[in-house]
Amino acid sequence: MMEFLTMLKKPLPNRLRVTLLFYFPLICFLGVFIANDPQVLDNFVKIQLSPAILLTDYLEVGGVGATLLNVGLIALMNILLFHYLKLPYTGLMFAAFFTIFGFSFLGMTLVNLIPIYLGGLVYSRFAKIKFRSIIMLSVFAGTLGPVVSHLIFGYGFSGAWAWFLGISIGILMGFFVIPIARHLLKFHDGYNLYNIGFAAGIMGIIFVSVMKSLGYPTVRVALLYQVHDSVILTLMIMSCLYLITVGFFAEAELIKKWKLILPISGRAISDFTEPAGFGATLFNMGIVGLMSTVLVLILGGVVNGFMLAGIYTIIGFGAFGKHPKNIWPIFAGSILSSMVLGLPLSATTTLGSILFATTLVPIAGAYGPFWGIVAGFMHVFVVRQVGDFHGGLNLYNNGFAGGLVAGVLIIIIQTLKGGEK
Amino acid sequence: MRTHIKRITSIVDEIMTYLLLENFSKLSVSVEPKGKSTKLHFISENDSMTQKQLDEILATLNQPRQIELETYYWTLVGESGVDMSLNVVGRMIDSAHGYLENGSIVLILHREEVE
Repeated sequence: MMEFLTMLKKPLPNRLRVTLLFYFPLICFLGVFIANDPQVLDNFVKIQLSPAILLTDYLEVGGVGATLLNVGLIALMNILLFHYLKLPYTGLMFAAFFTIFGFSFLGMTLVNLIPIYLGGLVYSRFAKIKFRSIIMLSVFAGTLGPVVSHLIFGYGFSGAWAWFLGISIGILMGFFVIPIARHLLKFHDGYNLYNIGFAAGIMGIIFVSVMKSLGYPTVRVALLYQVHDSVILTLMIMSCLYLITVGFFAEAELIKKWKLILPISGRAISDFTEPAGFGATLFNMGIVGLMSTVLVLILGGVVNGFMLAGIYTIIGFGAFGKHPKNIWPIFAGSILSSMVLGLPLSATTTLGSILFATTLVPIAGAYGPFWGIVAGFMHVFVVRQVGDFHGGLNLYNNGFAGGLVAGVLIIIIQTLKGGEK
Repeated sequence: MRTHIKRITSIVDEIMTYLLLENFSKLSVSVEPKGKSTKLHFISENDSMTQKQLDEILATLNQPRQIELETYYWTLVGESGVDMSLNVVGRMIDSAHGYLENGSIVLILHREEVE
């Protein structure tokens, strides 16, 4: 083990670096055995057949063992895809991987991801570009998974027709989300890190409006796991400690390199692997993950599927925009607005808004803590209202809200700072 | 093809914005497409630019090209002229060279069109 970790100090072949991700499906599969659920396969099928609409916590639907099986298989599928496509090891890859890793606890399944990926593949053929050029967008686009699942299992269509609708609309969504997401970046100028959530939110509004007009309303749910589970908490902490440990051994001048990350605004694109290197980036990911986990525990929250989605997304973007210096003002602002609104800080939905508000860290990084606090403060107000617009069919609801907040707030800030001069 | 050209004009826009914000008094640009490669040549007058500043610009522009990042984020280039935009340009070009000469800065960017 020591030899392996010492070897990390040298520049690694790209493929070997990616193999480090295998740790994550492995601990999930280990968790499946520890959970020792005799009904694990039945529960796994139950998860695959769920309509997946927000908020469907798979820990509540299928229990710990089946959920970890779902998460592990999705993680494994993506790692193998990255290998097959010979993708370079980048911050964006980590952001994409950990986002779907987290959301596999909350809405993503093998059933609903595959049509979205196929849509990306069809787009790449249509646009005459390599699939590897857009695979990261397709991975993030898994946010639209509930559209697929809800068409197959939620709206009441029957048999083969339901599957045909779900798969074909999923492919269409996976196709069009790519150019739409790229175009919508300009709305917030890269200040909303979960940009696909913004694009998917707008697509979701159109989809839900069409379905509602045709007599198929979308009813939101709140299936949340409310048990303090030691297996889940251990998985979370082990993930952070693993990243910190590998980072520690991979970088001889760890703190010096980590300090290179802290002045970066976080605005897209901020790939930390380039200025700070592999070790410091992993270290940063572990630190922001621990910071978020501790916050949830201090505020009295339950580490359930929703929290895991939030924390793992923060870990992923710890390689692509987030660090303690630009996260804390967002946390402060969103906690403050939750208190102003009288929301219980230990509630899963409140904590979710606080964690996911970090989509706005580039505002804190670029314009300072004051504007970061303002961004976090505004985010909680907006995110509580916009979920119904897309009927919960966009898993990155906070990315949608964050896009709206960033797009408006950036103009306000730039105007006040004399942007027209 | 149109996207390819739009990406080049965005790079030109971003570099021009950056240089003009750095108080350059005169700026000339030439774009030289040749087959699938394009050479972008910028010459700007600026007495205050130091070798250290130029090295920092070149370090940013010479980050490894990342097609995955470019495909997603290229629309951000040429829009704002603020902090991370040169970063995106760096991911979209294959190499950047530059030097200071008689009160001017010369920047030469090279980009290959790839799928």
